[in-house]
Amino acid sequence: MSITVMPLSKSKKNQKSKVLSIRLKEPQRRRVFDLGIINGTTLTTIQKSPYGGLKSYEIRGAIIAIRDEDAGKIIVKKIN
Amino acid sequence: MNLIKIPHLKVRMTKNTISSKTNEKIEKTVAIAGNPNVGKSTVFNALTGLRQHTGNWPGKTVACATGNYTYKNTNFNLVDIPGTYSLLSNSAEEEIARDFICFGKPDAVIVVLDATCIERNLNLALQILELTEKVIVCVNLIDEANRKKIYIDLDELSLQLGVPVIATNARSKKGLKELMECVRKVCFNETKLYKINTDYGKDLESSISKIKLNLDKLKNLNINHRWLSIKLLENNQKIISSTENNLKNNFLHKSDIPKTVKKERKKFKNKNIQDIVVESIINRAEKIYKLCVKTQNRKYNNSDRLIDSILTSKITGVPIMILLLLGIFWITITGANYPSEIIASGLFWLQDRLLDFFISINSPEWPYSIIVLGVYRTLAWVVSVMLPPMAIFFPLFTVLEDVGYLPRVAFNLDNVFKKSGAHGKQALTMCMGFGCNACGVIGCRIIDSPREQLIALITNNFVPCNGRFPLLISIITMFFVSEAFGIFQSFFKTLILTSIIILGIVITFVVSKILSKTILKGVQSSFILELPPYRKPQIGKILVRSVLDRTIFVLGRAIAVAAPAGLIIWLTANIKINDISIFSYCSNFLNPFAQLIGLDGVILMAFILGFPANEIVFPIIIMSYLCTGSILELENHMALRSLLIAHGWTYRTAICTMLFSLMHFPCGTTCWTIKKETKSLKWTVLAFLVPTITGIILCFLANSIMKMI
Repeated sequence: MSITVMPLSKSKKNQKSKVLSIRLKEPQRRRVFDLGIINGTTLTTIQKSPYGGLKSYEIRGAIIAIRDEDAGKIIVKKIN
Repeated sequence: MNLIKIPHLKVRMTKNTISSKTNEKIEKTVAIAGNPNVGKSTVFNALTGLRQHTGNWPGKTVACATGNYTYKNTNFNLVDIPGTYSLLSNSAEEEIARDFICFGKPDAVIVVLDATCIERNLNLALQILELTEKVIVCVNLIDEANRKKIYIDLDELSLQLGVPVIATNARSKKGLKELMECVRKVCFNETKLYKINTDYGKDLESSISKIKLNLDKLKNLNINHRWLSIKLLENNQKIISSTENNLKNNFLHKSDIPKTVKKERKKFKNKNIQDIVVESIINRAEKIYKLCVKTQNRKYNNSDRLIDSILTSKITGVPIMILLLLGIFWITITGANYPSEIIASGLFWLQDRLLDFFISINSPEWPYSIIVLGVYRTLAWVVSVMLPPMAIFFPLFTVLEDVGYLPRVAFNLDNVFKKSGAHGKQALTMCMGFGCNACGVIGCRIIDSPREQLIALITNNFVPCNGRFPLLISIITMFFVSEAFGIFQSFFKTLILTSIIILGIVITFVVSKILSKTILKGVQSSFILELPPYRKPQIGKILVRSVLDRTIFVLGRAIAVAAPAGLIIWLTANIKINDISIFSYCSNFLNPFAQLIGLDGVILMAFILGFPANEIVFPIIIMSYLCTGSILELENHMALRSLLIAHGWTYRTAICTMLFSLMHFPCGTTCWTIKKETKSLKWTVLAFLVPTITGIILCFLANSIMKMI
């Protein structure tokens, strides 16, 4: 059985995920909310930055880049 | 224009303009709000005709810009408030936006939504609707949305929000008339508005209504009571104190409201009230989106993703970035040559006529010597050397900005910046620095964290600005690329120039790292950046905007400093004590130290005299070698080369001069801007010393090593 629950930072390219919980502290937590990421939001991983360290995600029609430290504190479930 | 806009147009100023009503026309104030990158400034410009610069990256409008238009005998004062994603966080931009909507008392608020990204954008619209019902929703970029096969049911959207909705395409002025009419109607209460509040669930709603009841009893509380109740329940201290300050009403201490709030807050022991608020709003936005927007083609972003996969991939991303940099410099260098020559010969022709004129009226020598050979010649040099590269560089750069490439640079390089303890957005401020370091310094405001903002500010000078390019290019031409290179000449020039700039970038990383390990220690902040859709650049507008807004502005400033500087230079070179000019005294004094770092007294003196504007450094060097006491233009690079060699220049001097040009104190304007931005003498002094000391150390090392070889 493959792992389906993971930190967002571990998601693979083109993976669709659903947010299970957001463990970020303020003010990052609020920033993430502002972009429309709350529990239950679905997002798609788009791609890695060439030197790593951050990835871009499609969230509610916009492309947002988030550093892996922050994305690591957003727990998601892989969906199909 | 935004980059170099003089900021601090605060809310209060706008209020003053409203109060000065004239009898003939009615004045109305309209705020224009929206997420970053939704074409908000384009709507603003289209309505007002004011040329305000818009860029395709988040966080460009850092202070409110104002403009006005007249429609049906009413004067509408339009205030462009900073683009924000929300009004709930407490960043500087959001505070400005929130305070203006709350306390600036606009007669209406236009909320601009990006038609291609309605769902996320609705979040802000709903938050603004909590504050005021006098809202007009402007769905912008409607053409782009239709192209992407996104269809929006405007009537349904209007029904869901309870306010008028207008579709526009501000670039082609589509829908603007309707927007103006709608704004007028809302301002004059001619439209029926039936705002629908977001439902926060039974528990929270009951608490809200209890507090609101208490607030309703208070007099002179000129703010949406429901909204304030929510903020009280959230215990949002910043908003509460800002409300008390702005309304001059310490309602909290007068009544039993705090007691009620405390009681109600207790009911939510285990829940974060703000989370409930945020989630309710986002969920409502999602619901409205599903009701009003139909997308036929789910893959409408595929072409953007394809471009992204090329521009930000591991293999091609960075090489393309360097190639683009190379390309821009190559076009600038080659393209600037001819116009530079033409302008120079024109201006120097005029100089001869001026001299003829003075001689014909039998003027004594010193006045025309000061005016023509001192002031005019310096000006002519600055104009002819600076204008053509700027007129080419700025538009090219603005195209990259307009297309949406710059945020990708930040995305590509963020990890390198992170490893140096800096912020990915510093890539953007460095890019601005290529044009003008003072602009780069102002641009540092887009970095939220104060620590990383200071790093970006202090290191911005390591990116050579337009004023320093001429010196670099001239030295490269004279010492490193001879005519023998033939058609490849300009290519090699560009290559060397690009290497120097890459050196500057590497030094930026190293110095940032050192700063973040020493005086600017601290926690890394997060990096969240939107990568906006690629958009077709508006070539015509870019030309007008970058030439008028940036080129003329920067050139004007350069001229303003070059004229008095020309006078001082003339004086120092011509006032003689014991037959030796003041200039020579100083340069002789500086010479021993200058020799240590591979320069000579004259070069160092020229850098010091060039403090007002970097572009006059090289002319001063030439002038003093020629001992003519005024700046000269030598037509031919080879003649110039022999002049320099005759004064002891070697490859070592050339390299050290270029290094020192890359790394020395920021120019006067930049220092002044740093002082204004940091409001601290300490950081200004540091921003002055860091590049200077770095330059001295590196020049010393380079000089010593080359001597040994």
